[in-house]
Amino acid sequence: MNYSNLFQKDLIILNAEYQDQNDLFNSTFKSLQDKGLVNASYGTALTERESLYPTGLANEKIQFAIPHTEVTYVNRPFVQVVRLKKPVRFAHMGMSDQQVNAEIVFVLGIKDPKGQVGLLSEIMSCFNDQSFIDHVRTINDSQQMEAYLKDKFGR
Amino acid sequence: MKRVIVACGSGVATSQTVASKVKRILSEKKISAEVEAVDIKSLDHLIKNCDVYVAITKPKKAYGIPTLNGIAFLTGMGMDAEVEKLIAALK
Repeated sequence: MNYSNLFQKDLIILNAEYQDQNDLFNSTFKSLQDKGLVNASYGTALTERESLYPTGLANEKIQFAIPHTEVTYVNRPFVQVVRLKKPVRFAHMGMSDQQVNAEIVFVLGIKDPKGQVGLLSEIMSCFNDQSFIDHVRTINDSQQMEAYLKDKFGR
Repeated sequence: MKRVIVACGSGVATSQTVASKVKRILSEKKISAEVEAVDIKSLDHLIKNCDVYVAITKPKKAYGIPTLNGIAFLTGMGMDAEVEKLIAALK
């Protein structure tokens, strides 16, 4: 499955700085809503879902997060990529007593769970790949980042 | 046939992903079992006929069947131990 269309440069935010998770969600929600990718309730849905079912994840190489909502709030599928200047705290998925300091956040706009089932697996294998992590940490131009991600997720 | 149930918050992303990983592992090990991804709200209703529960969210109660850590299948961290439990539970 080719997921390259989900990535676009105006959904890539590099070296962003946010006070906390709420600040991150509010600001990223605005840009998603402006582009018509999500409906007006998406922001609240994202915050609520994250507090009930957190999405912070960690492996030996990196700490990151994959916030998402149920499909009803998403108009068109997307992946918003946010690289943080200063990590933002997320609770760990399934272990809410553990914290993750996420340096990269992939906000997932899932519209068709069955059709997009491979997307998260690919994201997970990317975050286990040191070369991917190095690229995503260092590319400083959103157009280059778009090209890199489209290539990675377009195979 | 034995049944494996995977549940996450909305049944949208994580449980689907973990379920497909579990399916792939089982087929590699030549173990046949049904694997289903559901959202946590349907869990109480659907878990009755299942043999293994792969939990993405922290289980709020015991269901009396082997319960595995689904995050391990997602991140690969500690997955081998969970795979062993999965195989043992389906034998």
